[in-house]
Amino acid sequence: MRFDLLDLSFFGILLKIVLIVIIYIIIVQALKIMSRDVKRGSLAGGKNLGWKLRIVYPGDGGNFVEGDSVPIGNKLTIGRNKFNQMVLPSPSVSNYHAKIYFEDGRYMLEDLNSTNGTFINGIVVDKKSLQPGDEISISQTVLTVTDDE
Amino acid sequence: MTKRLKTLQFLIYLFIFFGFLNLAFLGKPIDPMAGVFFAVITVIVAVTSWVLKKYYPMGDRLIFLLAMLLCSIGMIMLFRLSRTTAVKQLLWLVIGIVMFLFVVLYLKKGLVKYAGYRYVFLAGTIAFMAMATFIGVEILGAKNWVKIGPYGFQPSEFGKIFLILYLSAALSDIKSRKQLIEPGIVIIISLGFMVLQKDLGTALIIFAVSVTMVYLATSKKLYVLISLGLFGAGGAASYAVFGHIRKRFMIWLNPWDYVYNESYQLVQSMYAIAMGGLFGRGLGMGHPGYVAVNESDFIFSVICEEMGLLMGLAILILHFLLFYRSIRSALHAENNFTKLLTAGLSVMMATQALVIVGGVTGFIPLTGITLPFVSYGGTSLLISFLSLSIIQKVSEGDE
Amino acid sequence: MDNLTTNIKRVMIIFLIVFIVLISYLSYFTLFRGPEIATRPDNRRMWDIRNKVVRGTIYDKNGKELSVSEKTKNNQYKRTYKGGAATAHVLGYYDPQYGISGLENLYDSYLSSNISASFMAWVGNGFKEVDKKGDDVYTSLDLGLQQTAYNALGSSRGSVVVIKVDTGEILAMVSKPSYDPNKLGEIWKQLSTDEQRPLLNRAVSGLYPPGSTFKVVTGVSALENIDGIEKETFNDEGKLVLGPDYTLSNDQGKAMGKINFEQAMVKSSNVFFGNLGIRLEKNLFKTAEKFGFNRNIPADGIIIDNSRFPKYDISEKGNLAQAGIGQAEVLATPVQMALVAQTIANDGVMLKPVLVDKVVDYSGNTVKEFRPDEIGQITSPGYAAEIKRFMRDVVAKGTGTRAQVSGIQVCGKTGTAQHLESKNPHSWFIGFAPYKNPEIAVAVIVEEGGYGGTAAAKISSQVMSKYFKK
Repeated sequence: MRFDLLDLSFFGILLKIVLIVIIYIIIVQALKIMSRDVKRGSLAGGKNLGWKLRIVYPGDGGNFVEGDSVPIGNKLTIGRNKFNQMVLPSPSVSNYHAKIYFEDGRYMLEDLNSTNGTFINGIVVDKKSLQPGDEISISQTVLTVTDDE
Repeated sequence: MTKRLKTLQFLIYLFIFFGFLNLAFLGKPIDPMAGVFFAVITVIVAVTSWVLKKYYPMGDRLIFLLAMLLCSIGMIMLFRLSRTTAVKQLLWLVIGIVMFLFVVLYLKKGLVKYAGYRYVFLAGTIAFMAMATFIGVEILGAKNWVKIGPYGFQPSEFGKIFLILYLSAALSDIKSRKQLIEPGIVIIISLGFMVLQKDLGTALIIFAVSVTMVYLATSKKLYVLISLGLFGAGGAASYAVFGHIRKRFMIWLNPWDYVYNESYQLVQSMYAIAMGGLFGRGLGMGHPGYVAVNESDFIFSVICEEMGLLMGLAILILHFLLFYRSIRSALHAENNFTKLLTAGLSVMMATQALVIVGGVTGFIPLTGITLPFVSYGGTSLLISFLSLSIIQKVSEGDE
Repeated sequence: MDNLTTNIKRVMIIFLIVFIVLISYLSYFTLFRGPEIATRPDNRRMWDIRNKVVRGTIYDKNGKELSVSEKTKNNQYKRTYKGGAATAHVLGYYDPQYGISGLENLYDSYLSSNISASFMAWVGNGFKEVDKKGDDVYTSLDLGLQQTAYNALGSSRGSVVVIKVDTGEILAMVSKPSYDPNKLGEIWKQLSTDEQRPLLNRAVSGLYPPGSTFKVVTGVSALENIDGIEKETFNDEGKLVLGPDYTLSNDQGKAMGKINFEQAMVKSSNVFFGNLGIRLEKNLFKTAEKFGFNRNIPADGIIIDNSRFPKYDISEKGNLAQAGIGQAEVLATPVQMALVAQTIANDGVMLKPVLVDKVVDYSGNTVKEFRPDEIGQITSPGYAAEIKRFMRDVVAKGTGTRAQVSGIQVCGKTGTAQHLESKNPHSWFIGFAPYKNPEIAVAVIVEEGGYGGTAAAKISSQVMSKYFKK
């Protein structure tokens, strides 16, 4: 075929190919990043460590009694609003008070700018990783982090 | 993981660099504007990425990068087509990013609280969907533009977002079939207005998003089948009633018979894609002038003409990856409203890409919508980044 | 919504499938349908590309210009056809509005070659500006011969094909009615609505019953399949009764008496050959196909429509007989019949008909050069030699005396092809010359030219005379 639909300018050809090569390398990189996530299992709601929160003192009412265990799962939201997973219907608990989530192999507790704060072992925290045995206080409610079955 | 991301980000800079380098050489002897664009876009990507990393290190950073890559491809092509359009797009991009960052950084306290605004969303949906029918003007065969002074916008673009917000609220707590009636009516009204405005692309997107959201909310395949049936029936009815719909099908089935008249746009688009081959004719070497609306609806065709089939495929792949990452964020959300919202927005963007690419290649009838992130269009870009910001927030585990 | 995860996965998969479908379609479209779409005549982009260089020139065998791009007053280029109507069909036309046809189309990629405009060309030229021009095409046509053939047809409709026996080169290919391609724009409307179809290249697309010229093929088939046919004699009573209502007759019902194979050929006995058609049945079909009937005949620079030889059942005696004499539903193009002649002349070897001798690029390099190519050994040299002898006698003392050329031993076969009851039959002649070491093979058809093949034979004589006097 003597007919080149492509223009034969040398640079043109070079740059064309470079651009296409780069974009496909990007796609491959992206795929690699994504497959890592899938392998880590976060897609299916993955394998967290199965920790729970045990109710030591259910001060703020709600449906919990002392001794109850609530699995944290991958994420647990705590607050007054009914859309939370753990509802503490007390006026001194903020609408969206705090959340606990599992990531990078550990559980993190994060305070969501609550009015009265969230405490771990008596110390007010913004964001901190949890250990089994840690005592979490939200208003009048006291919870313990536990890793037993 | 961060190392991979860093490499990816760097590669994106590299891509933008070579793209604009190529454009620079198109000028005689060198076009300095290309350098300016390269610098601006790179800075935008770098700054936004840094902000995301600093404030939301757990969030999904890939989503933003994928979207920016798509933007860059579009930017490169727009620069080649027209300097002024590229500048405008750049401005809209900046506005879009600012809005994106605003939503991500400052709209705290969780998204789920918006579930309470259900009836606000309903009002907004109806208002925006209907707007163009009453105060709109007809442009390029579709009456879906509203002009305010020298600026025009497409109210249906906002309508889509409101609809998704409304559906997320209305469907998040479905326990009985009766609860579906209200959303069902809203969907049908929206579809109706779209058909009246001859904006069939948006109608298709609304349909896809609605069906998906209903399915996700109810898990009942039956509803999907019923909707498909209704869609088919509605489609057949509109085909019978509306001449312009018949025309679209006629053009789609036999494009080569009306080359100089009705199917001119589609034919030129197909020529452009055919001429591009695997690697394209090279930036600046094609004939985008023959393709109508080449900076928005048909931008995909001219990209294929000058940058090749491989670039076109890359765009599709990137859109799919973006969709995948976006809808994956929905899995992280723990309440229904947010889940539905994320899923709905993801489906909206993906469907839009599929519908327009399908149309310009002659796979399905042509419709007048834009390719998200790539096409020129202020409204389109803003809505896309708005959706992206919500998805980004959800990916960070924000409720 | 507990199984939301599953649902979302399902949605993901559905979208994945849709994306894959679209990606496949796009790839298929660009890679497989792309080239064919891109070369559609109404694709203006291709014209822009073609206009980047001056289109190459088409020459005849002797270097005479046939089709040239000439500069017009406003610095545009217009394609000029030096041969006018005589070469209109074989060269085709090249027009942004009406498209590209004929050789201009088949060799478009060479004629529009933009290699001269490339970076490498500039480098190769010592970094100096290169004359941007496409490749030149040197055809095998002989303009003088072509014009003689064209004029010889006079005001009749028909076709003349002349092929070089030992190489397959097409020396002339004429189709009438014709038109002046230099005035395409002005006369297009009239051309495309004319019932006589002046745009049709009758040489490759005209399908006519070959009539008695087909007896050459029947003769070859008989030699190959009926032992001792040369020695057989037959009583020709002027007609062959095949059934209660069907009779095959000679021309005007003339009885030829006791004749043998050779005499049957020389006098063109329908009765004899009709009988052969019945005796050979499927074998005649096989021989016809060997000669190219029902097949795509490979060629260069032209596209030949398929000639047809239907498959008749033993019981259809009428059709078999008619087929033996080149009637019934047998249809042939003039090129097909010219190849029949060329094959006999060339000891039974059919060659690929070729229109282009060589292609030369802007810098004088030969890009493509033609070499003779065999389609196949259609029949043995022995049988070819026998038929050759018969054909010599046809012209020397049989029905083809009008084809004689002084000083040259011409061989051939005449044909009268019946088509519509109400009209004159077509006049055919196929042949080659000289008898010893044949050089050219010819096929002539004059539509509705009358009986005996006289009209066609006369034209052949004129054309051959021109060739041998050169």
